[in-house]
Amino acid sequence: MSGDPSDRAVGSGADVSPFAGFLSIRQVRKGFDGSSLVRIGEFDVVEGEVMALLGPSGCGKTTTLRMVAGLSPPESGSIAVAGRLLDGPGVYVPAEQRNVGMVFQDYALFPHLTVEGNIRFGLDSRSANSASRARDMMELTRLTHLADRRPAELSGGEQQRTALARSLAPNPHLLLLDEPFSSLDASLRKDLRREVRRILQATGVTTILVTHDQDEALSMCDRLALILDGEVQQVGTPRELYWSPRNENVARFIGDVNLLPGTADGSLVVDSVLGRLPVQKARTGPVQVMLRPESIQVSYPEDQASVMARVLDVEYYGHDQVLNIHLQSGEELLARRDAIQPFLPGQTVSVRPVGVFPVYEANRG
Amino acid sequence: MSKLLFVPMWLRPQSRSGQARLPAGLVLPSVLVASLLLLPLGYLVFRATGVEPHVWRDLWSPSTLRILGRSLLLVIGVNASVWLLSLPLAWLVVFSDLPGRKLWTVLVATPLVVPSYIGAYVLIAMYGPRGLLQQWLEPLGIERLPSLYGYPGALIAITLFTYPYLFLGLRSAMMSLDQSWLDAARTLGQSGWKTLGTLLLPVLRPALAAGSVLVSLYVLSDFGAVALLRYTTFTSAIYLYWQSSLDASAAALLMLVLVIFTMVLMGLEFVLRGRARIARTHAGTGRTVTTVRLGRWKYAAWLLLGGTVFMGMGNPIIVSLIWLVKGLAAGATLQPVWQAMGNSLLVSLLAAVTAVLVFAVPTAYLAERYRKLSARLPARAAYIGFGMPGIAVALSLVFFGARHAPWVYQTVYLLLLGYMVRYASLAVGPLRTQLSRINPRMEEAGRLLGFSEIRVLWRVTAPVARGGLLTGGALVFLSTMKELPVTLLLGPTGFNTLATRIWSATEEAFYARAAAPTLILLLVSALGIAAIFSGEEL
Amino acid sequence: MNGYLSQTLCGSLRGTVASRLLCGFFLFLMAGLAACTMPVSETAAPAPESQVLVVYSGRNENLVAPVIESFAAETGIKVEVRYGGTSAMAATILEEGSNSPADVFYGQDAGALGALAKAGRLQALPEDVQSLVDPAWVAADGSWIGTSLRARVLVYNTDELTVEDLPANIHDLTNEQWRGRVGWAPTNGSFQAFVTALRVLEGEEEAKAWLEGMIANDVQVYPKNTPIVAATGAGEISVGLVNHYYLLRFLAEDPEFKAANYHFAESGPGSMVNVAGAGIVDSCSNCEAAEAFVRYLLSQEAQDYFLSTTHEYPVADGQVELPSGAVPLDMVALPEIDLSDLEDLEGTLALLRAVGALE
Repeated sequence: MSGDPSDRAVGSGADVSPFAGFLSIRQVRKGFDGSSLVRIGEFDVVEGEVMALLGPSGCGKTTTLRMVAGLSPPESGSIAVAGRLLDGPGVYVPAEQRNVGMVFQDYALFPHLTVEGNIRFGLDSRSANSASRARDMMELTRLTHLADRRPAELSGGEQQRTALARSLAPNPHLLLLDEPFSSLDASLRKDLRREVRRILQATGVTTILVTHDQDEALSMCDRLALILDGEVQQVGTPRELYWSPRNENVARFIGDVNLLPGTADGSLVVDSVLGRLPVQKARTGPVQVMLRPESIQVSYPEDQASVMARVLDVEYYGHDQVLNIHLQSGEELLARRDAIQPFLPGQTVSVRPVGVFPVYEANRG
Repeated sequence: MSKLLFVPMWLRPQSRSGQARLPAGLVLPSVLVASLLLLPLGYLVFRATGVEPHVWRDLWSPSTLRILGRSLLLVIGVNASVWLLSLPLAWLVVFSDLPGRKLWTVLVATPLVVPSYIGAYVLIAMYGPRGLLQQWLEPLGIERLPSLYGYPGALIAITLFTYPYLFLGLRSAMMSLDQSWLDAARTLGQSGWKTLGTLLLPVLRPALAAGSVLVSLYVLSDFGAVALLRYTTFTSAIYLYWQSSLDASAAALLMLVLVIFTMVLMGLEFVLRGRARIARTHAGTGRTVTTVRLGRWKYAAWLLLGGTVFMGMGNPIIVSLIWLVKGLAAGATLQPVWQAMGNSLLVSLLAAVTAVLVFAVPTAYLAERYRKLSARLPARAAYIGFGMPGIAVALSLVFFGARHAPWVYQTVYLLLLGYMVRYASLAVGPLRTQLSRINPRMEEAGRLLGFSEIRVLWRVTAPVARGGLLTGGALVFLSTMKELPVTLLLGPTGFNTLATRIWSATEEAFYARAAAPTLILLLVSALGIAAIFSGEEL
Repeated sequence: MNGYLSQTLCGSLRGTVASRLLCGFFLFLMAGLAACTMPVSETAAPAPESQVLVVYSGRNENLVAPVIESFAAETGIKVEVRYGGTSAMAATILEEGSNSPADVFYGQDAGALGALAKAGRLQALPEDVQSLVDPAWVAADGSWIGTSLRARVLVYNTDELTVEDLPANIHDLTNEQWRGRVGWAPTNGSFQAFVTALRVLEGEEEAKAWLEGMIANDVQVYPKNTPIVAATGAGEISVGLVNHYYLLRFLAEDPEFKAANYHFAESGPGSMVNVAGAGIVDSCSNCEAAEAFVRYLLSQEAQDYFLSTTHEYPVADGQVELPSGAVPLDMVALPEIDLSDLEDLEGTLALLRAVGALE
């Protein structure tokens, strides 16, 4: 990376070379209350993509979003959007000049304005375009029939769409969504996610979505970044983060995890109680192999070659089921299966791992 | 880097601490105004330095301490009674299903406009040992009523003419409560008064704190009512001493003691207000009107509202009418007061608008959004003027005006500054209460839509805090309507208002001439308040 | 102009209609106020500064405005009057310093006049003005002059008492029969002048004894004369130590008012006479008009007015008819005292504080 950020030239417009992405964050630090600290070495968002920042509450993802918005400037480091340095040594572009849109967790609609008034707020009210732009936005967000309502007269979903339309109306370079679904009923969320996804795709705006909900992150974004303890752990597509988490913590945060001890010999195969498992990285010595429940195939005992296990417990979800199984060697594993074949506790089953697995050094002690 | 850590955030240059730095566009005006408001303090210090040594000895006499103790007793008593009166009144006009709540609000608020010397005089005329009430009761063989003089009279009079400070603040705070709080309040009727203590009082803390400070400062600064009701307080003692000796230095020194009291009160307010911020965190931002059915309690409600309005407005009206009838019968002629009425309305509205827009909005915003001492100071500075007797404020501005700013001296501009010094603080409290309820995210949303912090303040925060703006404006309006010493000393020569007319007539016992302006003052103020509150509906 | 102003100032606000309206309203108020206070300065502006006489009046507008108006009508001198309390107006001149716009100070007690004189803020009046009045009513240094007289009296409730019941002097008021029935106003300037007279005439010890006797006799404390008269008429107290003219005003508004004035039968401080008076401010910019004004206050016309309308006694020589209810001053047993003997206000205040009368 590029060393001490303060070495860099101050705020010159041409100084875009270190910034690879549409949004680039470099060496940003911010500590508040002296306790929680955000440190981001290098983070880029590509133009037009939807990037999710995923992490538990208090991990610093909202702080990161507010830094990008200019609401809470970093103590050091640089942030650039669309080739323009917004934060850097001696540079701070105030929030109102960043052309960054944001939808707040509680939407923060203006209660004294109508839906249309909210949407037109950020547009130059004197220009003729403003009315037609607002109309377009209401059409896009299916709010046309509510134009004259005040926020207090809207449902949660309508409020959310108003907030979205309001922040999209001035055509921002970048759209920030801060936990946009958290104050909605669980039953509504799925539809609304789809709706928001549709609107984002229609406008093609580069978006950062902050959420603590992994389903939301996985289903809505093109790529996601997992943040733990104020640091970006891994950035990648949902598939990458699910199947190839860089470390155990990442693996544990997204989805269910089985960790099997094994011994590596420097090749791409590890010895374990489930036999010789193909892994993604060559290591030596004691290791942990990570298997998702989906990659453990469980069936009625017919295959003599596979490992035998006993079903301890069945969680039936309708679309699938999760079995807690006990291996003869003593380990307990989670396995996910389709919902069709019935399993009962106490039943003996055969187990077969499928895929190429991430592998981590075994924890000492 | 490590050196920088010891520099206060707001002193740091532009770059890295944008949020923490106070916005210059707000700091400059509010610091400017606040320092103007502090002129009287500077004057007092200047004058007090010329004090003669014997005054020091007199100051620390047991009798001074006794009088101070009496002032404190009155502060405590008035606060207690004002709370007892204002809480149910505000609750009734906000939450109950009583018909005509808007009208009640206006009627209950208007007694604030009664000048305290008139209020006290009226109280004596009605309920004194040989007042009107005694005359009505005479056929029943009642020769004398128990004496009103002393502590009880002072307590009743000052309560009657200060409770609107708390009432209006509480009302505005209650109106901005979330639906969930409204629901909580609804259950009051069923589940007893415990709910009030556990639910409502904590969220009303800022309003209670702000209102109590105003009430306390009023008690400390008033001398008209306590002198008539023969209860000597610290301020009336200073005033009377000054009046007979014209010894400005000694009076200034004593007044500084009063300023210290004011500062102690501000500290108390800070504690009472609490640190918790009660911003709405949910999207529901509008107020849905929910009302509590009073049922049989409505008779008690009528009694409370009617009784308060009778004591606050009915008494002055009755006494004025008697003056008028007696005077007319004796051949007194009425003098036209249209010009005085026009002047009163004009300066009072102007003072209200200036106090709210020029002072209260920036300072209240700074104090609420930047919760650090430097941001809160301008809002605090305004209280000092309110805690001082009007004559001290007026004389200090005479001093500065005549000697250092002769071009504004005895013009309406300096008069307006005088009103600001006295009353700007009234506009800050209700606005702060309101701001503490406004979701700061809303302001951030405004900024992200391309508006600077200051423009967001005017385009988003101020309209949303409208209730607080109007309440603050109403308080300043009513107070200015009755203001006397500043008007007399700083107004353009020949400038008269309803208040100066009333004063001038009662001072020399021309009560018939005082009657018409008194009645008009009450009427016009009630109409003014009604007009101000009609702006409340969005 | 208002429209233009609001266009330029408020039009620049990029905001809602409401905020522009508000801004416009604000400017409208400003302009309205400027307009309504304009006439004074507009008419004042063309005339040279020195043609406008500025009077700071501690005397009430209802009492003295007619006199001032007839002065202006008679001399053609334009007069601006600032009304306020006597102390407040005197203090205003003190605070204004040499920039004071005031030419004349017109007050209703000798104390405030004395305070201004002591601070050197009054200039000596010409000899011929001073000679218009009995020297007893002129400051020793000629810095101010009495313009009308006000006698100390005992006001009594006519339902309860007749003249025969009333005491011959102030000392009788400390007797048991008057316990709780007397009102006084120890913070009032006239009362304090009376106490000073008491000290001068009868000595410090005697004055102290009387004050203590009164307090021990449960004297009722009022802030000033008017409420004492009101309380006496209402029968709340039986008698009160006041100036004579307040009662006459009560009677003018309500002939049924149940009180009358009594001048103590024995000569003493209880029947002393105070003055309302005027002086020319040292920084006057229109000193000639100021002198003319003071002279006018001593004219027959003005003196007649004081007698008939404000119910005060005239100070200048001349035969006048007294209104009903007023006792001719030469029938009152006046004490032998000179007003310039009454300058030790500080001593009086100290005494009042010492006996606890000011609490």
